[in-house]
Amino acid sequence: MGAFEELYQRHNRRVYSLCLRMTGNVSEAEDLAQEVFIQLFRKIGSFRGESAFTTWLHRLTVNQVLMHFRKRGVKMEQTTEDGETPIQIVKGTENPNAMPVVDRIALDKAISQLPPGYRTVFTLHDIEGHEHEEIARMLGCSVGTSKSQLHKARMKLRGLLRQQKVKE
Amino acid sequence: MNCEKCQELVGELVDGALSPEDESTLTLHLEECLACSEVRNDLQSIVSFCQSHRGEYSAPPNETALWLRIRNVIETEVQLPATALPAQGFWSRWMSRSWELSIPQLAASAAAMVLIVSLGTTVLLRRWDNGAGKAPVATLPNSDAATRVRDRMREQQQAMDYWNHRVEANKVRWNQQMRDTFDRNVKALDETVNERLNELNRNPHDEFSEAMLNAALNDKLAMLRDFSDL
Amino acid sequence: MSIRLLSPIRFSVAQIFSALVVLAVLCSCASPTAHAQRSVSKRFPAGKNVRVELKNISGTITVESWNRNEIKITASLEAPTANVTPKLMGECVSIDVMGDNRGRGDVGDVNFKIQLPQDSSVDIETRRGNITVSNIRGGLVRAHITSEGDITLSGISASQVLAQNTIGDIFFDGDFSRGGTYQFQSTKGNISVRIPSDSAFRLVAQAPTKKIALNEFWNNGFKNLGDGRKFVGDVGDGRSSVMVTTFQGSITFLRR
Repeated sequence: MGAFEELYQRHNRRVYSLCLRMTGNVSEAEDLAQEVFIQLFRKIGSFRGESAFTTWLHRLTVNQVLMHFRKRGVKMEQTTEDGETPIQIVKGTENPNAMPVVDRIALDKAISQLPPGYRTVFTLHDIEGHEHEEIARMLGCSVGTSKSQLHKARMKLRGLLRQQKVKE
Repeated sequence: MNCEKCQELVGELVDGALSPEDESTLTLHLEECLACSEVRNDLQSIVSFCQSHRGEYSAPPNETALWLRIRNVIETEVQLPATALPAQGFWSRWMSRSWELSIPQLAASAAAMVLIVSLGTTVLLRRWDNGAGKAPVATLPNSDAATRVRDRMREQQQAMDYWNHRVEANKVRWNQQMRDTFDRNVKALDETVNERLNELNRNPHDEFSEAMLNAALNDKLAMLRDFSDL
Repeated sequence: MSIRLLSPIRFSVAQIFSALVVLAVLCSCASPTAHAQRSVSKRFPAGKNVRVELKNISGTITVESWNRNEIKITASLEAPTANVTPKLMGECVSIDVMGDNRGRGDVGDVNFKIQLPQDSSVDIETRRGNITVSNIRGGLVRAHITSEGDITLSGISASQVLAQNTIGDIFFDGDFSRGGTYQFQSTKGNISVRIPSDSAFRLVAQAPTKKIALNEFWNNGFKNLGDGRKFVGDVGDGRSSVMVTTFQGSITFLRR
């Protein structure tokens, strides 16, 4: 148990942060992080060392969150969301409120407001640094979908960050 | 290039994923269009921020509490398979044991082994000659069923003790109504377990009772687990 | 009379004592904070595949459909410290009383009333308290009470229905759809299933001896396993799967 506790101490923040960014909810992220470590305990025997341990654990975490989404009926391709909030094409003179300098708190807050599908792709690509091909494999969607989700996520995020400034 | 097309591609420009031709067309438009270049700048600062802060993680609200929760679950999982061990323990202990024998002890052991093997062979050959290769008409199924139930009860009891312990620790925080509810419902499940055990004592082959007993034990475990969270 | 009014009135100790007791009882009943309940209400626009997930601890839960294209959640909270925060995740509205109140101690009863479009799915879990779901025709209706409480599901036409409790009755009035699965389980409760006479399903019913009444749905094709404690068989073409189990109660099938 001591060895496993050490693993927890070393990786819990990484696992929790990924869960938090993908779900946008603290208590859900905590529950998921708990589940990830329990799964890790069960499956650690099957880790063969083909990839780095952190990559393997990262994959385990992403799968756990995606499974959670599926269980809750969250769809990755937010087709209805597009209908509700179409991307505004900015033309001519833009909103005079320039986007504020990005900071951690504002960005985390804005990410949590994204629809789950956008949030997942944004987290995996921009925050975690995965390529579209890898994301498409993880989510079971096409590379094109991953790219378009990312584009929509970024544009929506930009809008949210600007709104935050207006409210301030 | 119009603004719509430009803003569709600007993300890929930020990622450096555009072909040189597309990139130069886009750059031309961006030089002329303030709104589009603002979009590019904003996306650029979001992406750069993420890149420069990659690897920074926030801690769970209570790291220790989360670990304790994880440990509790893991410990029950470790305890459960452990109950199956005693049956195999004898052999594994026997096989892994080392022996230190003096020469007379060694000789005595060898003699004893020869005796056992020859006696065993004689008995087996006799049985074979008598057509006793068929399965012996023993009361094996009977004892099998009883052993299975006992094993199952023992396994479940270990897990129940664990959850019960957690429930008892939390019970003081519940209101009286919740405490009464819990006691009443545990009693109802215990009644079912006892009824099924009585039936199984009367008829160890009663598969229906065995299935119901398992279901009731599972339900009790689930209830203890649910209430241990309160 | 005027003389009587002006003259001092004598009270015995017993009279004064009983008057004080009456006064104290009246005061406690009239106190506005003694049984004050706080009410929280929230509305969400309903998409195409609405799903509501509720994890409660204690209290009654009523779910009913309405004609509006929105979800309304009303919670009445017994404890002033209790917190209920419904969240919208995609098309799923989720309420987790347990999660929202971790570390807040005893939160008492939280009673819910949920109104939503009839094509919605409903997934409810609670530790104690009655659950009533009416007129829902979505994909899933799940009502799980860890301990005691009655489950009443009426006007239900979902492809998956799951109802489970320990002490308390389960009543289902609805339709079994083709390929659907229906499970009802109680430890110490009676289970009644009211369905149209032309219902077609494969049934596994388990209860103590002589406690299973299939009535009109009985046919000679049913297998009696376990001395009248388990019946397995098809009604009609067995197009849906139904499992009913009670450890100490009875099972009754009724024709609608």
